[in-house]
Amino acid sequence: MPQINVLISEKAFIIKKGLQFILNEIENYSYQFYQNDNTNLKKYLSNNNIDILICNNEFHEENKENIDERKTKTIIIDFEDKSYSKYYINTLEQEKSAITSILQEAGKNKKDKEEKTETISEREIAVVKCVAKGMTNKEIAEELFISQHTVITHRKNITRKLGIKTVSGLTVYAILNNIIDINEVN
Amino acid sequence: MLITKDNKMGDIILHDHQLLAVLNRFDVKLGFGEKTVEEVCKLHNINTDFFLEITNAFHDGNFFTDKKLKSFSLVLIVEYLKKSHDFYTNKKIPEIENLINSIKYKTDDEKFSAIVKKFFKEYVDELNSHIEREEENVYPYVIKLEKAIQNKELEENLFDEIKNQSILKYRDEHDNIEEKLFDLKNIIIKYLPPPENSDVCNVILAKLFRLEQDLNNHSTIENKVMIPAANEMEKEIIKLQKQNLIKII
Repeated sequence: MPQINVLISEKAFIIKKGLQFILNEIENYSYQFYQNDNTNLKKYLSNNNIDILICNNEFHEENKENIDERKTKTIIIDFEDKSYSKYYINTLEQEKSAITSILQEAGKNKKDKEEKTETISEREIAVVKCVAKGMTNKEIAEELFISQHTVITHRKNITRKLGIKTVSGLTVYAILNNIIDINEVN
Repeated sequence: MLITKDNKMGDIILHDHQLLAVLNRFDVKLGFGEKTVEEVCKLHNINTDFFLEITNAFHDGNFFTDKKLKSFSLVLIVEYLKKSHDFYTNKKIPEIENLINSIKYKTDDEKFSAIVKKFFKEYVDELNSHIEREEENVYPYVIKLEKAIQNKELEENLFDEIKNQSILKYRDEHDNIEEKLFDLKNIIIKYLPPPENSDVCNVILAKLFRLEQDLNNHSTIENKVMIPAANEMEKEIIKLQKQNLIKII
């Protein structure tokens, strides 16, 4: 199950704690708080793979152009909904289940998309083999007759599917799965 | 739970025993009796407010929204960070290493054991060089900044470093040592064959998860407290220099 990363941009203590309480109960949801300390929101969202941003109307209006709607769904939390966002939580909402279902609805897209492919493909195995041999992206691209950009995409997918981020980790994976012989590794 | 100076030290440990690791870094030993946090701190010459901030941050990862930690002297913060380095390299890593050396596999034991050992060794090397760089370059630099502001004077070569906002360079290079730890867990959980002594692996995993959490807490203090504070001081010194309020020697 892919993890859903939630970013909460909210100052009110009670609202923060309330959201925290509910999010802790939803499986595979992890959350962090956005500290508005000059960090670039756009960068923050993409670096941390934020799937859901929870903020109020005002914040949303100010930062609209920094939010890539295809990647990050915005949930407005406010006492009234003045925005055009698809998802909205009213701070006066009395039912926990209503809030939970909005949070789940906003994360649904990603789950559907990612659950389809979890095993690595032939092509990805070829890339793992090259990485394990210590080849650079450029060398891999030449070896497999693909662009460096494609190599990077493959590597991203491999990391996501296997849960292995480092080169030495991939090398171990390659040895354990007989993709490469232990003697081929320097 | 919010830990306050009037809580009994014994109670907060009963509530969250992971805090023992923090007490260790403050050189506080067991046997608190009915003493409160404040009383224990006084006894050990510890700044109580600082102790509370650190323990609360350790106890509740989201506690960092509070800006209070930034108001403490960087000397205190660096001292704490160094103590936690010490805890990783002299306690936790040797513990885990011993356990890793005792994993046994039913088939091809030699091959698999060698793979895990090698991978762990690489991780330890990376962690050590990371720590070394921080203790030899970053921490002393940060302390020098604080001193410069206090004494209203600084050396010229330090000023050159400040002009380049060196702390931001460090932040950008702040390598991700968590990644290898993440991989190690996954390799043991998913990709190595079942070990003969699973109980050893279970203990290793529990320790790895614990270490990971501790390291995250450690880097949060660096990234959210130390680096922003140092960067503010860099800017402050540049400003003071422009107004001729600080002497360059």
